[in-house]
Amino acid sequence: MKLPSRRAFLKTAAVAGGAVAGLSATAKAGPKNVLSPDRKGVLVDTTVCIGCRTCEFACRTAHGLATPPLESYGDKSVFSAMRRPDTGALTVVNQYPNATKSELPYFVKVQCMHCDHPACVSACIVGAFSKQENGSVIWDTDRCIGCRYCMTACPFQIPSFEYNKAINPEIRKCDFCITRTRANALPACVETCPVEALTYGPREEVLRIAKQRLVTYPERYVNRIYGEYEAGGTGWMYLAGREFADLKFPKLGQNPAPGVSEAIQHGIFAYFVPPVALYAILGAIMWMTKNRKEGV
Amino acid sequence: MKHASLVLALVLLCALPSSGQDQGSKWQKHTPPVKMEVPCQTCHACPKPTKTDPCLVKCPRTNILPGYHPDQMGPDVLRMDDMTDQYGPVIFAHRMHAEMSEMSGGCYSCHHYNSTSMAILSCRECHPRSRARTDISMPDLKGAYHRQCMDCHRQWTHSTDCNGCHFKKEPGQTDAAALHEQEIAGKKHPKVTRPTRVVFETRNEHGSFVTFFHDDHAARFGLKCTDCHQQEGCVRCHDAAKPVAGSTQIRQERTQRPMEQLHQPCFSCHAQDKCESCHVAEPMKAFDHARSAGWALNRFHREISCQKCHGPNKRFTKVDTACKTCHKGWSPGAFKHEVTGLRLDANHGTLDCESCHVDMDFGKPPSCAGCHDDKSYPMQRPGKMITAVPGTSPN
Ligand code: SF4
Ligand code: SF4
Ligand code: SF4
Repeated sequence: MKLPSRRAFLKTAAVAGGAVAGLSATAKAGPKNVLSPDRKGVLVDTTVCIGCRTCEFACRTAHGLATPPLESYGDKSVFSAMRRPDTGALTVVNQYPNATKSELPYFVKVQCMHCDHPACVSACIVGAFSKQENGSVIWDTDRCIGCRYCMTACPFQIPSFEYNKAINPEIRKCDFCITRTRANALPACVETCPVEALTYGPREEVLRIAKQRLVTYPERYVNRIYGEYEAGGTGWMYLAGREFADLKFPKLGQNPAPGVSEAIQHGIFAYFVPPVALYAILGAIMWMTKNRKEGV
Repeated sequence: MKHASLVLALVLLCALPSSGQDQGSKWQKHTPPVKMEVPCQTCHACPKPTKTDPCLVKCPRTNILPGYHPDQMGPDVLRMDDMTDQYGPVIFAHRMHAEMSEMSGGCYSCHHYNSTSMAILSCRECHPRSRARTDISMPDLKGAYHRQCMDCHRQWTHSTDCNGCHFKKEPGQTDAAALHEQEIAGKKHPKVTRPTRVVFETRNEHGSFVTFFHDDHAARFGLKCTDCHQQEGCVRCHDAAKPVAGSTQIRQERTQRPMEQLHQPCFSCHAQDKCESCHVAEPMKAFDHARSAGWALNRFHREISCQKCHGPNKRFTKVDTACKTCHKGWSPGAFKHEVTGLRLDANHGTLDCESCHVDMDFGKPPSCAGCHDDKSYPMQRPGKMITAVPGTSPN
């Protein structure tokens, strides 16, 4: 990728390597993962969603992705196949039958879950992924080296890669509308949803509301909030009228998924630190020599 | 903290400009201890609410009002233009919806929360206009409106198109919304005709047909529409995809519903019945007391309601056919035979009942054979036929 980003990486590695080498052995070059108590979350109530797909339209529009006109989103034929978010659509809505009321099927909006302990963040060896203060898990184009570890690590198969782009292919995923939220606007999908199937707020508050709904309408929901504990808890959480497994939600334990990848990767780091430091120093020397040569 | 937010919500509620006139009237004043229709905890979160801290529960979702006003008293057509960004206002035929709401939960199905006064609160009086807000415990106004409308409308039109209700904002265009408003003003829902007999075709192994005598049930058992039809959405009849020539779009077939749900209206009385008592090979003929109960009703008994003999229970049990079972005070001496339409002549008037009515079985035709060899009823009669005096009963 771009030269400056490699340099930045090497510099970071040099600093990190040096720091780790100089500090106690327990310190890890962990990626940025802020778990602020004020982090935001979204409750997706799949029993409320009407499958209008306006959120898909709003998401594309907000991210400058090509989109057909809003009117065309009324086309229900897209529901005949299961869809996954991809580079052209950061969120998609799928339809599932409702056994007790066939006329009112369930709809499930899929996007990045903005995990509390994101596997993508720990998998990314260059720290291109990060969990922000407001809960968003975002990706930095300048750091990415295109290794696609994030795609393998994510338990929800969210990050997608622009395979069809030869120059500067990017990783794409829902960024929780970080540009909008930084400017105090709501995420585009949340703002547009006609039935407010997406409730946005501090994760704790969103969770409280989800619990309240389970108590108030026990006949409406299966008694579980998907994302409360899954993969160590996620920013986006779901309520549903039928078992989550039937709605193609992955069956995950309560441990953060990255526990696995982190262990492996940090294991590598632990033994890798001296070589990294060494390489960093070597790299720095080479870089300086090169610079000096250039300077002559 | 919780109290503060509740109070804030209340203040906010009262501060809304559109809620109009006298806000005080919305919340009926009551000085405890006063007997209310609902327990205090329905509205108050704390055990001792005070004037300064009434600790109101925001939306108890309990029908607090003892009753609603009749549909004609509600507004006719509403122009909903609280939140128009991209789209123009929505014209809502409020009265027509209200008229038909009786069978789907009534006013309460939309106006799910009201204070203790008789004022009916509209959506906008509680649901906040802004989606970006601190209190996210209830949907905002846009969400509340759409949640209310879309479950029926998307079944009816099979679509979630905005244009089904919203008029697109186009500058310089004629106000399509206003035209529509005029068009539907004062309109009423056409009178719903009551079916007499409904035959359901089923896939039951005992027989395909279930015949339901709608009128019999309604009239003879004294049922109101709402005794059975409690959760009928508009889509029970309306389906935009299945138009019926020359009329409104009426749905012709029923969708798949689970067995419990389908049988629920029948099971409140027929739970003891076997499948084959309703599921039979042919559509049934109208109820015939003689065939089903083995006892033909005479023209007097035909006139009276089932409960008169079988009691108030919906499930009827066999009744002893002896006259005295019902006609408690009946004695042969006091009986005036002319109420049957036949005034006995002097010769027959003094005879015992059994002389003609063998075994006191009044269901069977009388027999003359006890005394006469050459006479038979009704070729010959023991008196004169008269017109029965209306209103008289054999009692
Ligand atoms: S869902 Fe996947 S991409 Fe999104 S934060 Fe979690 S691990 Fe990362
Ligand atoms: S939060 Fe933003 S990026 Fe994510 S699905 Fe919604 S609109 Fe798309
Ligand atoms: S906009 Fe809302 S209702 Fe429509 S599909 Fe998306 S989440 Fe569902």
